[in-house]
Amino acid sequence: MTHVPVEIRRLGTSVAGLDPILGGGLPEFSFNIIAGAPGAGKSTLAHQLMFAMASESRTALYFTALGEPPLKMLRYQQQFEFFDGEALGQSVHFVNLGDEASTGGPAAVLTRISLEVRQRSPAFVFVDSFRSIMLGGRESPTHADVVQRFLQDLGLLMTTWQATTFLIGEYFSERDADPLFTAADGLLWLRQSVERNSVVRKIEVTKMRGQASIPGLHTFRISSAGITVFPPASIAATGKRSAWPIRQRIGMGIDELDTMMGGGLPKGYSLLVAGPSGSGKSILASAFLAEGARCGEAGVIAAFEQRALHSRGAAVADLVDAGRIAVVDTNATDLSVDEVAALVLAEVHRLGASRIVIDSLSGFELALAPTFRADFRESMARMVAALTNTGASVLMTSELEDRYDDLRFSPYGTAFLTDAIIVQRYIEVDSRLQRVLAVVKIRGSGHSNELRLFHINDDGIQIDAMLSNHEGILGGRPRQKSPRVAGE
Amino acid sequence: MEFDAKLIEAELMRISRVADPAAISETFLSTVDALVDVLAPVIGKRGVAALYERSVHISRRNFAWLPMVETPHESESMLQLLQLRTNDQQAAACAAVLSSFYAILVSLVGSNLSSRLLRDIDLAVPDDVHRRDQKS
Repeated sequence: MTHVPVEIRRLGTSVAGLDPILGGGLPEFSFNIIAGAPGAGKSTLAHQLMFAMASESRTALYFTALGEPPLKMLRYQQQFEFFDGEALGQSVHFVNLGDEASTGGPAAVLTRISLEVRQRSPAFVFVDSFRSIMLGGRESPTHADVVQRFLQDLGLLMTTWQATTFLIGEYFSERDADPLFTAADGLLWLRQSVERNSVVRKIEVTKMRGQASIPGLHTFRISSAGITVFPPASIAATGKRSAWPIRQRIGMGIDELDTMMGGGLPKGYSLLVAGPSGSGKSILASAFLAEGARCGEAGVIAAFEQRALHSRGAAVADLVDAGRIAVVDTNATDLSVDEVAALVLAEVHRLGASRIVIDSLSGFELALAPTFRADFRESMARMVAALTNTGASVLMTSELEDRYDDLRFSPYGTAFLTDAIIVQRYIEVDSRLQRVLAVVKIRGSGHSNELRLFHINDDGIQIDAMLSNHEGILGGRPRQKSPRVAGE
Repeated sequence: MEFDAKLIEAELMRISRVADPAAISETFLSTVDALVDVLAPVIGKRGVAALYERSVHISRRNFAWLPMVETPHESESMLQLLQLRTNDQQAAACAAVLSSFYAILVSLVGSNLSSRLLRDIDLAVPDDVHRRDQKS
């Protein structure tokens, strides 16, 4: 006979980004630990889970013990938008265990919890702070046995009373409380990573019995709305990547450039536009977005430059005002690549956008928390893959210092990540600074190999002729070719 | 309950007129007990005691004869001192303590949450005071 496993219902947490890293939500009736150092966001996560999941038919009991005084907890937690004062006494009940924890120890606490659970039959139980209860009576030689017994009894009580349970506690490492972590079905660690002046919050699902959680440290942010988790970009992206070979091309907004590219950018490609400061990368990116809007395609821009929108011209500003181009807010401090990817993807899905601009990778790197800079290349690879997996075409600009003895397209070694590359350079001709550009690469497609002069006017980038009769252009100072002598 | 000091004072005075002088202190202490019953499960007995101690402390600025208390359970000393006072003094002091208690709670957790937590609380007139009130 085929074994049919019991179906474990997964509960949606309503905490943005949390369900994907849990492996699809929280298993119903699971016994979970929310662990971390003080200030890591444990109580905030617990309250957010409680207010989101509790209802009048599925109530929640929030036991407070000797940690943060309940008066202060209520004072601060109600600052979050998820805090629903109307739910108090209806779907959410707070119960203070201070007396039991301080005078009776774990046994008295268990008795009181049992009483309340039997009276109210809650669907969700939170105990905050669990560690403070465990520390009660620790001088007793039998304390370890008492704790073990307490955990077993509590786990059994909660499971048989069909309550999904969360124990919240200040723990600093996995070694702190072995019996507790062993007994738990789910273990969520909240951490704060400090590097120089930067602090980044991270969550790790160390354990989630019966389902495939996403391993690793995932960044999260606490705002007035509560906690938002940023899962890896690769699992956050949904959509349909363009099928290979790509036949459809999209215009860049500069006709001559489309011709150089063999008819435009293949749809769904990633394109790197590299060049020195002021060479016209952002203007090219604006033309790309404006052309999309002209064709009815929405766009998203993540701009990391100062006065980012000023340099894009009135046309793009108007499209932003009209809501056809979304601008991702990149002003938050200590960003992670996954957070930026999540913000961009949210806008892509909201608008159904098919063009994305990241301007520039250099500004992006500076906006990241230091802890993420070492892995910038790998993170970028994941993000580019995630963004193009939506089916959108992605244009990224990269600040490139002009080095005339070294032909490079990206300081990050990211050139190989992209499907296409356009490079811009300054050259000196007749004591004037001139600009040239070339299409360096378009994967799977023919393209021009010309180095073309271009200039920028009020209408944007204008591509001119090749600089004829010159050589050594990439050296920065082209020389006129010597006239051929007859007979040579 | 409307935690306006003037309204509480007026109600306590009314009770004292229709019942007897002891009704003021009895009603006050019953109301404090009701507050403890409602709030202690949520913020703990220590939380309620801290609020009560602070509200008596604030009220002693105008009613210096009120006893220094640390918990609502020290009712005997409160009762003895209240009953040495005139009805007016008792009613004003009791109203000051109750309204201070509420004001401190509001300052900490906000008026919405305070109203929510104390939505079923009214001046807890003891049953025998009620009976005396109804007879009159």
